[in-house]
Amino acid sequence: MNDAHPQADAYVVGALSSDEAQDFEAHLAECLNCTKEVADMRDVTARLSEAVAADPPIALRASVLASIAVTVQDRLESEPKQAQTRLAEVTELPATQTPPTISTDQPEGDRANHSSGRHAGPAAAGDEQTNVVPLQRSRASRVSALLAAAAVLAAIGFGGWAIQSRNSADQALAQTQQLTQVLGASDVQTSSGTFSDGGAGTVVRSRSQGTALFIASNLPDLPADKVYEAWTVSGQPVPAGTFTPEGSNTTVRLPDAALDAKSLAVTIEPGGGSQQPTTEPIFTVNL
Amino acid sequence: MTTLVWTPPWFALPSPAAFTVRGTVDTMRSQTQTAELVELLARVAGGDQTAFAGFYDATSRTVFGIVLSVLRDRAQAEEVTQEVYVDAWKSAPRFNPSQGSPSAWLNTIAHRKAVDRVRSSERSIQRDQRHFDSAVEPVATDTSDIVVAHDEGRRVRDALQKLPERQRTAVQLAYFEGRSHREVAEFLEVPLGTVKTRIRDAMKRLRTQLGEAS
Repeated sequence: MNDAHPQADAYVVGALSSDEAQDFEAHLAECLNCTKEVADMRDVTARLSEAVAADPPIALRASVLASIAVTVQDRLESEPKQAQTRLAEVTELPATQTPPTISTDQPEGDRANHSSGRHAGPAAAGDEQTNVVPLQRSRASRVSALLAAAAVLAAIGFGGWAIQSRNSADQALAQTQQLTQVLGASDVQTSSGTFSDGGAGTVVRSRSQGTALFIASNLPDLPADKVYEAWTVSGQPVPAGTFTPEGSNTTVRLPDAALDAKSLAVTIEPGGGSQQPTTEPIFTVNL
Repeated sequence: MTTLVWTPPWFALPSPAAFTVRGTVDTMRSQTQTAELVELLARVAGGDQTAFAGFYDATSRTVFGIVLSVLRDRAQAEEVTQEVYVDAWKSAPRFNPSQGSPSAWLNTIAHRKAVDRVRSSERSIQRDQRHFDSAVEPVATDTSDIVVAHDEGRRVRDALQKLPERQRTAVQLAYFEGRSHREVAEFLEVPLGTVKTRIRDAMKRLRTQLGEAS
């Protein structure tokens, strides 16, 4: 705390305008003294926050956990530049990680915005859905269900919904309702993993609802004579349905066996699917 | 504006006697906590969702608290807190313990997001109005939320109380309410340089008092 830049204190308490903060971060990148000063003072500001610690609503925990379950983490190896610019990034994270807005061919969420008093974003999508799927639940768990559903719907990107059997709006709605209901169940479980080719997959299941869904995002297209095939595994792999990606997100309703399966795997199979996997899994997740 | 009777959130707290005395182990506790958080974050970086739940449980009161302090609106604070944790999840693989503690890292994300939100669009106007109202009748942070079994904030509040009033006000407006130093200068009707000096002096004192200086 000697020769540090005079802006350092104002920067750490967040008192610089965004332009000033950017200038200071440029300076930080080449000033070790300030970098250290800022790191030390961030410990102090973190302590300051303890002075106003407050319990978040209980439902927020479920909502956060549901949300991260379908969020792919940044990978260091694919982003070699990140390490160098890390300090700046800590403070310059994108304004929001919330996902793509609802695409124009989907129902609008405006009404929900007005009625809930919330701002556009994850909650809007969730509220919209629950307008059509009244859940018979107490207020507290209903709120929790809403948050969780909103988070998942938002995180997986509502816009690119793909429908397996027929591409109709009704089907899309039914699928979303199904997901909303599963997410609202008190015993909902979500398990996520990544495909070896980079896509992400999440199993959402509830025994009480008797529903297990698999949601895959950013799957590469396959040659016309190939399909993705899901397998439930509790010993020998059992076929759990074939699918082809039809948008950025693909939802597959899994057979009841998935409710008790120990894991789920996905392989690439010849069109029509196989009774036994013929290739190595490109995705597995423990349930 | 300077004629307002302005009351920071921690003024509304019961006297220190209401808090359990646990001060002597504070530093040790925070070191242990830091080590635990580093370990949790390492697992989170590997995609461990259970570890992330533990990380959330250990940190969410502080994160929600500072976000609520800046935004003064529970619904918005919930949204922003959610965004903070999604960010933390995504960027956990990039966390480097040699560059700071997990709580400093997370707090930086939380404070920045809250400030971005409050400064975006016309909401800052609404906030000014709200601030005006709350200055008359302070309800910034629900006291019952703060006075729970934990007392991690006690020492910090003591340190804040010990600051000269002008410094404390500057920190309150800048950090706890997310105002830019220009806004603080306007609000207090003092030159910008004065605000900078007050913040600087306050941070210096706090750093010494909180025993975190290295």
